Amino acid sequence: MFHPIAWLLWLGAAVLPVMLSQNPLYVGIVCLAAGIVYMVIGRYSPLAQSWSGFLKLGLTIIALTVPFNALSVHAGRLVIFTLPRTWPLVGGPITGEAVIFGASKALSLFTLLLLFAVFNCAVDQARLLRWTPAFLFEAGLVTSIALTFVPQMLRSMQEIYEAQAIRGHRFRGIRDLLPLFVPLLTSGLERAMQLAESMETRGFGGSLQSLSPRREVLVRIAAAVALLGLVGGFFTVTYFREGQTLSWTLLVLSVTALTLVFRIQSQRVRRTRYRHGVWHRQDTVLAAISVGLAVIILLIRSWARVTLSYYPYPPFSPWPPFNPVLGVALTVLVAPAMLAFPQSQMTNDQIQVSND
Amino acid sequence: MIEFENVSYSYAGSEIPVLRNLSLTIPEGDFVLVIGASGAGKSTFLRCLNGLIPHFYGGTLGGQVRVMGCNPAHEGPRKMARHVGFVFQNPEDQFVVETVEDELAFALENYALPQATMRKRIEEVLDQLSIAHLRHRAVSTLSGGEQQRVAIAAVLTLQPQVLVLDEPTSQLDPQAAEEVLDALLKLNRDLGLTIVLSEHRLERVVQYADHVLYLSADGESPVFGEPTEVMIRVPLTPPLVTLGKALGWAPLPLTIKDARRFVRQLQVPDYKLPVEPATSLQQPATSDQQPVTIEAEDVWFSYNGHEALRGVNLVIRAGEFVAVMGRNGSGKTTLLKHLVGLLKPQQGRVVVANHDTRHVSLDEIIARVGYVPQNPNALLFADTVREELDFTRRNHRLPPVDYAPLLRTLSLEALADRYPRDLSVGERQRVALASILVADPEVILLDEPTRGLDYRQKEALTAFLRAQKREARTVVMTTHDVELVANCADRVIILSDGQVVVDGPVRQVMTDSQVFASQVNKLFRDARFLTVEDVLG
Amino acid sequence: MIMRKTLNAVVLAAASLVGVAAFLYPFFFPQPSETAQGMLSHSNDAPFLFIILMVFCLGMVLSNLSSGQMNSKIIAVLGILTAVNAVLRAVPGPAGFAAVFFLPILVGYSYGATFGFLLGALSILVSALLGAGVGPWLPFQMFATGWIGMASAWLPDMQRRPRLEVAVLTVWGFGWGFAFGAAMNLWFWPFVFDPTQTALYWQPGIGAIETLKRYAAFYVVTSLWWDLGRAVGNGLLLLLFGGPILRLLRRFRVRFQFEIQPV
Repeated sequence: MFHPIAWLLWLGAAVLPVMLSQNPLYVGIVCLAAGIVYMVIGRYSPLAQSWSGFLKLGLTIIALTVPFNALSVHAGRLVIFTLPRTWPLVGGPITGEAVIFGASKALSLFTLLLLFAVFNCAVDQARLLRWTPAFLFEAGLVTSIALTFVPQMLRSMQEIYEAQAIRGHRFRGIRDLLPLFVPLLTSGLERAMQLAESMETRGFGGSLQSLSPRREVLVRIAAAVALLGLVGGFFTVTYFREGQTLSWTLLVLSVTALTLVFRIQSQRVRRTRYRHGVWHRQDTVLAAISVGLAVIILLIRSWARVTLSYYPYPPFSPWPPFNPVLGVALTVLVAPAMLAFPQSQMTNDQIQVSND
Repeated sequence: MIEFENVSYSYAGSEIPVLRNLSLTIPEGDFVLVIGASGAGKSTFLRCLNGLIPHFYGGTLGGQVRVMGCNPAHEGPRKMARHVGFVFQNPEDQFVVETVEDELAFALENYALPQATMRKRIEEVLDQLSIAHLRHRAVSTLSGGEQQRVAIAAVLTLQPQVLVLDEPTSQLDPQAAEEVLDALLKLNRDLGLTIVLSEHRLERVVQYADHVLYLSADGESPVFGEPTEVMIRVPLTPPLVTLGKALGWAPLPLTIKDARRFVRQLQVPDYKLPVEPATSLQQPATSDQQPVTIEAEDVWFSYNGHEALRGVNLVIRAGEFVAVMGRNGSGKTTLLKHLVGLLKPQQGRVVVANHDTRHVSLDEIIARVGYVPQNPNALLFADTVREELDFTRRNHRLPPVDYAPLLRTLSLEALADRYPRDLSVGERQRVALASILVADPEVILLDEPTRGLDYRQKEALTAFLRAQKREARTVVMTTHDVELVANCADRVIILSDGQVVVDGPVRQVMTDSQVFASQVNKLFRDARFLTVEDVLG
Repeated sequence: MIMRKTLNAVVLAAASLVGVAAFLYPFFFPQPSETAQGMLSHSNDAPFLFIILMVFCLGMVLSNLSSGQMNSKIIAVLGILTAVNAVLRAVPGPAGFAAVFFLPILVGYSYGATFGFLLGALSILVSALLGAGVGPWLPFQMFATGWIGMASAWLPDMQRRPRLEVAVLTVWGFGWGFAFGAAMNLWFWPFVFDPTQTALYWQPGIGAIETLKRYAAFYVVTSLWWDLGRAVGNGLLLLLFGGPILRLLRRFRVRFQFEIQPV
């Protein structure tokens, strides 16, 4: 399969048009591409094989959104029928525009879910965790410990349930959870003590270092300032037409500062990694395609903003506009299905050995 | 080389020292066995070797410890990890990441070793512990023995010269324990690794040890020396050694092979060869006139595709003491769960105290049957032992009673107001027993009651179970512990692959079997001698 | 030490401010000054940008909270508690209720803000990885749950008065049930905006008061009843189990000798 980073880039490129545009034509193309990818990776991931659940979910979303939108929005020229105006909230004309817009919203939501479902199926969580950046090492380790502990906990839950049941404990009300929950939590905490010792005896204690006090002060100040800069930048970019250059400069500066902070914080973790996922030629292709698509979308957004927007109600046309360039560009999202790996390359995380 | 010079230690907030003026020298390449009752300071001693004491636990440490030329108290566990590998009791509690290979890499990554080195070391330990076939597996899917070998491999990657193990087999069944001990012997023999091991099952390891350290809980001074020399001075020993001491065999035999020599030399007054097996030995302890308490008829049961029970037939009469034995996965626990109605047969039927388990509620069965699960931790949740007993009485809708007699028989009277989770393994086990028996069941079911217990605790449990037998309670227990069976049971059922393969009186079954026989029985191969008491009269 | 604590608090405060802004941006939207067309296309970017902002912010907070304060004991305890909480979340309760705040509130209250935040945020992540699914809402949920754990540490210590303690925690959990729902709806509310004169949807440029009114209407219509269930569920859990679980956590704090600095 592809490298988790390549998948992440693909996900980003696919989510971008869905979130920037509600235009059902573009979103539809993304949805179709995601569906094809979902089917193809189903060959490798058993998770991806259940289509029926997904289709049900999609229908539910449409069944909820379309009537809700049609009944609550009464604008538009394509009147289908009219409900008495005296009815609260739902009274008024039921319009074609409202139905179309409801459907397009449902499509967006469904596509988003589908994209993340593809990502969840395609990327092994343990593999993804190995790519936790160094500055988040502790958080990643906590997550990894938790994931390792869950199967054991489920077993002990069963054990506790049986042990209490034969002591006459019955589940009659919420209060009866206590004899089940307390042994579970207690055993967990007892285990934590043992685990900490085990980590300590395998040299964990020293792999984390503190920064020098001076550096730490600087890093924290920088972090706080950069975060404030970031939020300021986002606000001004989003809400004011004037002074865009200034806002963008602020944003770029803040992001640079944050990256720097992350880098410095990474240095305090003195560890090496055993595994290096292999980056195949296919990963490069997928990454390039994804980044390319994102750039095209962002260029269109800044130069031909109108192309992306869609607004069915008067004074605009209820029919979505379509830019063929963007439409064709979006079809490249099927790349993961087309670039499928030959079987021999399917092994997870081969380890690169240097010849020494 | 490990040196202790006048080492004393007491935990933070405690006045009583756990170790007192301990001095000893362990030569390089030695296999050292650390023995003693729970609470005697075995774990404390082991944790001094890699600096977990005092770095992890605090407390006051006096005297000098030197391990491979370092002082662990100064260096701390991280620096010591390169000299001393440490493996804990419960393999499952030691894992940080999901797959075997990543687990092995954890220590190496902490030391920021280059990738090529890591790769080489991991391949080496995979072979040393014969776990190469497990490398891609998730640790949670492994058996106990496999997990413990992975835990050992995970510390060996740092190439320590000393390997310290804190009761590594106490949570394992005999087969898995054997696997782990074999691996340790191989490491000691082939690599010259110094091994320091604390262990309850002396009968299995004592013959391999170069030295034994005995720590006493009662403040006696510790004993360190050759195994035979230490065994003579230690109160609680395996049956074979106890017998040898009683009969004055010297040098003290530690294996059946060594002891056979003495048996051949025994004179007639000490030991009579049976002319023919006495017929009384063939009889079960209770006669057929007793009412039937438990009856299983052609019971079948399978868990997601795996057939755990395949046509089990069983009749247990009131007052019988039955031991169910068999290797792991033979269906022992599944059978026991059927007898209390936790599981219902998918085919066939189980009748307990005249109730067909398929047709009555669990409440009606547990009013007559008490079941003590393997792991007491699954049961205990209240703030005091007393509240734990209250909980059971309340659940059974029974009026409150005076707990004193029950607590006294289980020697828990001093602990009635303690937090159960603060108690030792043996004490917890007894609290679990008490919290089941407080409902006064006619039938007691026990699942592996001696797991993790030391000799003294086992002896207490044996005495208690014999008392239950005298009170004519029906007892059914699953166990791997042949000595416990020899001491308590009347009848043995051996399960294999979900079927009953042997069902008979304990003396006959043990004498017929190579595997399920007690040490004394193995020595004499005679149905009259199962326990030390049988021989000494 | 004091310097470090202060700075830690400053970073946390800044990150929280950014987080609040990312949640609440619809309320700060200025009056439109241009054509409907331009406004329309523009406003669509906001939800997307704020998700990115949220991810940055979360990274900053996680890295700051953990740097230099974590030892093996804290990491192990956090890992275990995180697993317990993630599994609690997967246990289905009546009316879609999941007991996900119960533990972060108690742990935040008894072990401190850092612990509470990390437990809240990471248990949401773990439950997502376990099957609840990774989605655009994830950073918002992580942040919101983390806050609940962190804020619980700011309650005064009432160990001496166990009844009062449980009562306060119950009310606290009840309140957070609603606050969490209200905050979580915000992330997608503008995203489903409808540019017509409806009473329930956000529109760019309607001003804070009007936004608040509309949001209140939207909230009452869509989410109030769910949140009522959540609030009652949390309150009830804290009322019934708060005492015993707190006793348990405090027992273990002694055993672990935590030396984590409060924020």
